[in-house]
Amino acid sequence: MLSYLLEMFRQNSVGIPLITRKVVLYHTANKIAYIPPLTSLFAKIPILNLIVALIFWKPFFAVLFAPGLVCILIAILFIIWFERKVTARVQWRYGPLEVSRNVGGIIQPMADGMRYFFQEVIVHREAHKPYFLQFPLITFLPVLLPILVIPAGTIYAINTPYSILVAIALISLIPMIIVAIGWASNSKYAYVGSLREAMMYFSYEIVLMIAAMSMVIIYGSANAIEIVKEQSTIPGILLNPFAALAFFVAIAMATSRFPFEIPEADQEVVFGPFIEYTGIIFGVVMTLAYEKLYLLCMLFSILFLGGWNGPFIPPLGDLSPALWLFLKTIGLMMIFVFFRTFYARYRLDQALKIGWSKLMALAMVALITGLGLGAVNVMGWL
Amino acid sequence: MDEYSIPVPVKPPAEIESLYLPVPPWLEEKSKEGDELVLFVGPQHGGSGHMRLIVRVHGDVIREVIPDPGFVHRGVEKLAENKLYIQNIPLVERPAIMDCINMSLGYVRAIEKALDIEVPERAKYIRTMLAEVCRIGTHLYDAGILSVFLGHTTGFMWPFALRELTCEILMRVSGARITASYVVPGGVRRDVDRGTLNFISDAMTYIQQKSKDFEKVFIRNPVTIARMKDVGVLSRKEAIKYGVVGPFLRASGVEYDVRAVEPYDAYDELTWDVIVADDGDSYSRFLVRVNEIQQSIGIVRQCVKALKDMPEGKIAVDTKGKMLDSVKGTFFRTFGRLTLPAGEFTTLTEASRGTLLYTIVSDGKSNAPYRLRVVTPGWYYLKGFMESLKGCRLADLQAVYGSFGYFPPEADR
Amino acid sequence: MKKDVNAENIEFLSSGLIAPIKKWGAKWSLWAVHLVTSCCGVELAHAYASGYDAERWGSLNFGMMRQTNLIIVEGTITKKMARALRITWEQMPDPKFVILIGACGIEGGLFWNSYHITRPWKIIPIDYFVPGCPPTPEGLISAIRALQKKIESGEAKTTAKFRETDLAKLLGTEVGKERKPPKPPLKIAEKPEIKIEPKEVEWEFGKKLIEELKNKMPFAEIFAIDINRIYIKTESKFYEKVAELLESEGFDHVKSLNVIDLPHENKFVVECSVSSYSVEELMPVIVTFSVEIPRDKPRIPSLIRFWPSIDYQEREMHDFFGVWFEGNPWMGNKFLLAPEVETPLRKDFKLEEPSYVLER
Repeated sequence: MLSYLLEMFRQNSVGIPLITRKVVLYHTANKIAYIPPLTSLFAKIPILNLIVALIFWKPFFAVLFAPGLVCILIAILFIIWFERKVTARVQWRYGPLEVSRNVGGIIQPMADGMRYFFQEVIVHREAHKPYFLQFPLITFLPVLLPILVIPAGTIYAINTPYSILVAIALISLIPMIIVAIGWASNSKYAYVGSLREAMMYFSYEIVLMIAAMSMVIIYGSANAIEIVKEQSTIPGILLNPFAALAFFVAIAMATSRFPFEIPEADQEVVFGPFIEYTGIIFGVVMTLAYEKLYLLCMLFSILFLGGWNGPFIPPLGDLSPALWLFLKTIGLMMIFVFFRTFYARYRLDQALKIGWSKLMALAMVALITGLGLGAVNVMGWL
Repeated sequence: MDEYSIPVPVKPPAEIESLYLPVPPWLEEKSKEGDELVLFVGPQHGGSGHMRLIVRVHGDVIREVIPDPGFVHRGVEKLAENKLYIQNIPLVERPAIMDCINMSLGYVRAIEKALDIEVPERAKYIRTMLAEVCRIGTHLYDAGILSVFLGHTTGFMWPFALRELTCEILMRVSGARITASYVVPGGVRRDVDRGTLNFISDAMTYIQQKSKDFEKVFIRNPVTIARMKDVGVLSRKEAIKYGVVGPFLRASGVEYDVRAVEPYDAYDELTWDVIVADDGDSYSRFLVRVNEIQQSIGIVRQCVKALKDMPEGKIAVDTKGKMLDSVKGTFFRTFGRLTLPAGEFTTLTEASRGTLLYTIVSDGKSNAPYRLRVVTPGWYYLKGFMESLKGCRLADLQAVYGSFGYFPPEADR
Repeated sequence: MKKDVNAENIEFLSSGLIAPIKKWGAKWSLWAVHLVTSCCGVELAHAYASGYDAERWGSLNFGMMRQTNLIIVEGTITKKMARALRITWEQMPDPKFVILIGACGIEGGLFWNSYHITRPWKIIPIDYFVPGCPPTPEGLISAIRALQKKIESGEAKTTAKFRETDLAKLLGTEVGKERKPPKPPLKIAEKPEIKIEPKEVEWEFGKKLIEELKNKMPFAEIFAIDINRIYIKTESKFYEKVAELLESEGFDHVKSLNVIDLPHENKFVVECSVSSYSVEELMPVIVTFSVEIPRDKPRIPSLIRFWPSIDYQEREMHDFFGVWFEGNPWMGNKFLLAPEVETPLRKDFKLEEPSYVLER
């Protein structure tokens, strides 16, 4: 039984030459001294070998490491620091610095995280207590499930022809949970905040889907692996710039980036749905928007920027495409957080108006372009 | 299904409930009848200063805002009755410390009016110059607060960085960054030397250049315009009816500026324009102040030029009209235990946020005012502020709040 | 305070296996809640803005008390704000810290004997005091640094060292020896009279205006007290009549509503100053009309129907003197003041007086 599992894990495991290669110490004509690769060290120990094989099993690796949980964590820690730092630099100041002077205070978000981790968690009397505590944890479901269907090069859990559609459907569950959080908080500001979140949800979600659909029509497939393969000659952003623009703005609305930071508006509804959260559960819900941003940016780079296409780095093996995808995603996230420095926030009705009129029109143009390009089978030509 | 409960170990202290601030009892009933949500904004709220606004919202539209000021009411009027006349100078500038020169100027002028003394020319120009520096500082402060209320953090940081310069000017002239207590009856506390004048002139150039960057990033930002245009409109008629003052009145089309209407100090010898806008919305209230910064820079430059041409010294007079080079020595002996003639003396000053009124009622025997009435600009335009919010959307609350630059310590005194 | 909450918080941070991580996290992440309590907020804003940038030390000004761990009390705490401060502090999750800036928070500063302020250290435990009126941003930042050191080492150290001096040597006397305290410089008349008398001024337009007003109000005494200042003395039954006439004259807003308390004559003098925005010649003119009302039954009609701008000033005077403005819907409620303060500006409401102990 165990050996069967082991075989299954090994057959579909991530190949990273850097780790699985043996390290040669010296090499002469008739002598070779080397350190065997770490994985082969564990290969003989009964239970450990199963664990190691499980870790390198592609579906597991995808969810837990790249592009999953670990990558999300790194991205969030980096992007929160970057957001504070770049804002500070634009504003003629230093930003986080003294916590680690040599590296520009890059571990500042970790300090904040630690502080949140050890702070008291207050559950107020008016809250619907079980839900108040459960919903922040449930948020991990819609955040991690899309990872199953979003591949990073050869690392993927499920290879399905509907991967983009399933991913968008799962991502669009996140606002539901935010609304539920606002309801469970049972506070006036949380109520206003969740209403805003719900309103915004309607205005961007359709645009997001239409923009993605128009690209799917062009590529003739909703399978991310095929979509990226199609883009090896020309990235999607040049094929259908309207869709890219609509998707871009919809991401900003979906993840409450400026100028659409409306549901959580600090000065208006004081973090809206999250107003009553303290300690570590606030840490969890606060990063929700960043997690969503990560997922949507990943989708954007798959749909428009050629996904993991990039020069292959041999020592990284399977990790090389994952790295390219990660870098593109981070780059996009950096652009989104940079908006904070030069935008104020729109009012709710203005954002809805933009969503339902201009953005919707743009999405329609994108759809028509997509239909047109799809009809002439542009991918076949290229 | 019953909702199951999990025990929460920490119980709130019993006295907490008695700590809640009183809410008018009819409010809850009224809101239930009218299908409204009653929101309490402040005093601990990211978009409110030291006051509480009780907002009745119907849908997303504000029906009424009930102010609950007094969180920084410190009883200046009562304290002034128990202090010597010159002890009150630091007191009256505490309500709006970023606007200290204007605040003390009004009070000091009331004393001078009672004593019927004329201030030396040089002191007049120094006072005018510093009053305008304070005006620039206060307008920058309000612009910063407005920006952060709209979520624009860069728009907050840049004006505050420029405000450092006005603080530096005050520090070089008076010794204090913010609370200068510089204006005294009969003149000013000390002279401004040539080096400081050069610094002031350089600082003005720098502020003028850098405010162009601010204009690009915040004032002409499409989001800013969308948020503030046609929001919180006060028509000319309404502005007069609710007694709005200062830049906010001028934004509604009334050309009323105390500096022009009833000139004091050196204002009648300088050339400047009264900035007036017609729209009366949040954006024009903001633009009027932005343009006033430019006018103030012009006034400061003229004052610097005039002061450079003037001989140094002679910056104060004593009660009998004798010129003094310094307020040391005889000054405090004559002014320290001053008794004003009986009567009522009212001065109007154009402080940064609008008209500032001081009325000193003296009984002619005491060496403290019998009654000091202070009406600050914030207290004047609070009514107009509340009225302009009616019919706005909930998110506009902060835009209108910021556009009025409402500073509760000033209003509450 | 029954328990020393700060000591408890420090204890929590420094106990357990993972204490270094807890301390490190709390030390570099002192987020201040946005609770602006008084005018020192100006310097707080400077400390967090470009000039001084307290974010370098990981401190960030943040919106809500639930998500922060530091309260910076900015100066004076009024009786009304004290409640808000206490509630904010109670709702903040542990471990939490408090820095107090400004002289007012320590012993009241300039406002030490005001009827409406209290001492914040009676309300919440405070880690560090920063004196100054207002303190400089450097002062606040050094308090944040000191707090970081306190979290790290667990012991509170003051950052300022004071020189100790022998008072007896300095003053040349023995301390404790009874001395007659000096007389306070304040001299307040026993039975003050408020005389507002006409003044001869060169003011052509004023003479014309006074004539015009005299024709309209034969029942009142009208004179100029200065250039641009006209005073109307009348009886309380004509209060509304005068207002109505002035309103029709073009005086469209209220500059000030003032009440003067004369306890020995048992009366209040209610003065209302009006001016005009819509008529250009009247812009600089302030017309003050005053009436006297009995002190034991201080009732007077509200002028809110002529000038809506008088509304809040009437509420204020109701708070201060207990004058009842009939017709103002707010009467009976407190507006500016905390519920426990009653009619503070009446002359028989005495403030604590300064005492002078030693003379050089």
